[in-house]
Amino acid sequence: MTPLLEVNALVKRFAHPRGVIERLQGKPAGAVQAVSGVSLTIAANETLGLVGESGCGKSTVGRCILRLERPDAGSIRLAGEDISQLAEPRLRPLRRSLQVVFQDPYASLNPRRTVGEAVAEPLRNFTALRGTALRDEVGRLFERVGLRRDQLDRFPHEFSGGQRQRICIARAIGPRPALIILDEPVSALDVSIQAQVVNLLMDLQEEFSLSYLFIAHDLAVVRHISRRIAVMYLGQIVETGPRDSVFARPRHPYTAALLSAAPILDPVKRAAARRIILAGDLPSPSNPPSGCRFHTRCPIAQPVCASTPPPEVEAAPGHVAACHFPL
Amino acid sequence: MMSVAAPLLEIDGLSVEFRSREGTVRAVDDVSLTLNAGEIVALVGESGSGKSVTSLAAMRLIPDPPGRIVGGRILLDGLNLASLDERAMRRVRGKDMAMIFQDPMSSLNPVLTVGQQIGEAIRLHEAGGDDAVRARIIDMLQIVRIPQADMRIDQYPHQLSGGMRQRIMIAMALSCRPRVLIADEPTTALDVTIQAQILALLRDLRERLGTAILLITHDLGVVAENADRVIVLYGGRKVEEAPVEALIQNPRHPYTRGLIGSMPHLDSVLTADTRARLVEIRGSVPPDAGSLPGCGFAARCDLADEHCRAHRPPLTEVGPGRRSACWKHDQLERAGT
Repeated sequence: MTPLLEVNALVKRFAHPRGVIERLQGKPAGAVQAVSGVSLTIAANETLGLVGESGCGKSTVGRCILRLERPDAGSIRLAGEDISQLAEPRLRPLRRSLQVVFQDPYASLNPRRTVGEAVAEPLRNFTALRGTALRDEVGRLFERVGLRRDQLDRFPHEFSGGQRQRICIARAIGPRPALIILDEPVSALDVSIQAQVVNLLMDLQEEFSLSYLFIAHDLAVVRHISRRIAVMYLGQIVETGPRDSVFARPRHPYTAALLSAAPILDPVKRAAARRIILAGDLPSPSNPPSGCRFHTRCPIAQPVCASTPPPEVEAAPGHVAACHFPL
Repeated sequence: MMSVAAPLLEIDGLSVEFRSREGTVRAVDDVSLTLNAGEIVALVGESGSGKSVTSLAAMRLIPDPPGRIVGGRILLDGLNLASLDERAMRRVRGKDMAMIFQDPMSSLNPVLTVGQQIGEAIRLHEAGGDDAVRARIIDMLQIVRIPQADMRIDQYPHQLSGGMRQRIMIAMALSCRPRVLIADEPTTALDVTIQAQILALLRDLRERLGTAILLITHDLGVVAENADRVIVLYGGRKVEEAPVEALIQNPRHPYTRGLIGSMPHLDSVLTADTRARLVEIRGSVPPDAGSLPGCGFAARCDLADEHCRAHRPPLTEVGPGRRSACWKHDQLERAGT
């Protein structure tokens, strides 16, 4: 069966702007390779959790799939069709099946338009609904995400962060997409609100048979909502596999470090946990380390790690780690 | 050693109000806390809980107008900061009590080198020649584990990573060896691996320098691993106070219980291929929670009844070092665990 989404060897570079002095010195324009050969698949009705720290390229992967960016190489197949190089007119109808919810619900709603209009816009673009029928549908969507029909004519500033994220979710599910890119959808929200939104997303997935690409840095949230996990480091996927397999036994030292860095509430389990504190910071993506990109921070790195890119090792069914010495 | 009776920092019955055209909002209502030397106390709450206002008030950094401390005392080693004038307060800030904020980029001056910024407090509060000050700065950079300190000292904030900037902030705050450090969401803007580094550094500084730390955070995971005692704020009021293990294992306020339940854990049990729903706290913080006649949490609480909505629950002793502001705290007592 073809997966709903199949991304293969995706590459995205951004030109590095030169400052005045660098231009006067005649230095060549550099490039940051934000995404360096990322491959992933998402099946219908599945959630893939894409995890990594800031600057690892996870949001750029999402923006390429949405075609908010044009990839420099690689393919993005949505239901079999490669959309990676499609021009805008041919992309337009596809946008119906590809929706997005961003992290910041304050920045994703136009402050001068009512929230009802925000949710109605994709419906007006992609469906024949007009007038009362359109308003009815928007009302239904509002109720579905836990808001009230009588809030349609209000403006974004009248809503809390959690409510605004519900509005963005209503806007995303309106045109009945197949895939929603969720880019840190709950990380700006308070803990108690975060739980509400995560539960809502899981309910909607079931009800509307949605697939999710859930991009986040919070491993505990990702674990709750995802069926499979992909871990990114400096533009590459270092480990991917079924959720339980990855969390129970991470094979890549970076995944292991990420998992061990997350705080543990239970003091008994905490005492038993082995804590790996990584030294140093994320290297610059404009000049990534040779060989395995993680070798500069890896607690078990060997000389070969600095010279040779690691092979992909299938450690368990569907569970792959790119490491010379998988755990 | 400090005697048990005299805490280093004592906030007693603090109330802070903000005035606007729409009226007066009480952001902090009768909040008390103590912080002993070498102790880490966490102040926990969601947005609007009053945790940041409490810490800003302790530093006397509430802009007046629109804000005002309308009641209470802030005692640092017996000296009431609430009654100091700005000049006297300036001698305390940075010297006896310092603060670090969530976003190191917006707290650092982009046109000054890190050395100039760390040196500012040292020059302000202590005598010494340029060479002595420079040596002190390099020393501070090494304390916060910045590699190549003699090179970094002449760099500008934009040349540093987020984790490194937060280390600079900590170095600035600690440059005059304050006895109290207020850390307002110090790791919220950082990635987990960097967060782990910074928290380990704060714990280590407490050990080595005996700095007392008031840790303001919304993250109970961070609290569980770093604090000795916890104070939970909701709608500007203190709702629970307890030693950290007791609070996590047996919360005695429905809000704390909800907060712990709504956190996804890495160690919770999920069955294969099904996804467990998270416990929700329904609704959101009402904007007027601090001025309601009854319990500010009643509207979101499963246990609440008429009495809760009409009468404000007093902070009641519910165990050794434990207080809860809930009429039904005894219903929350759990056997075991």
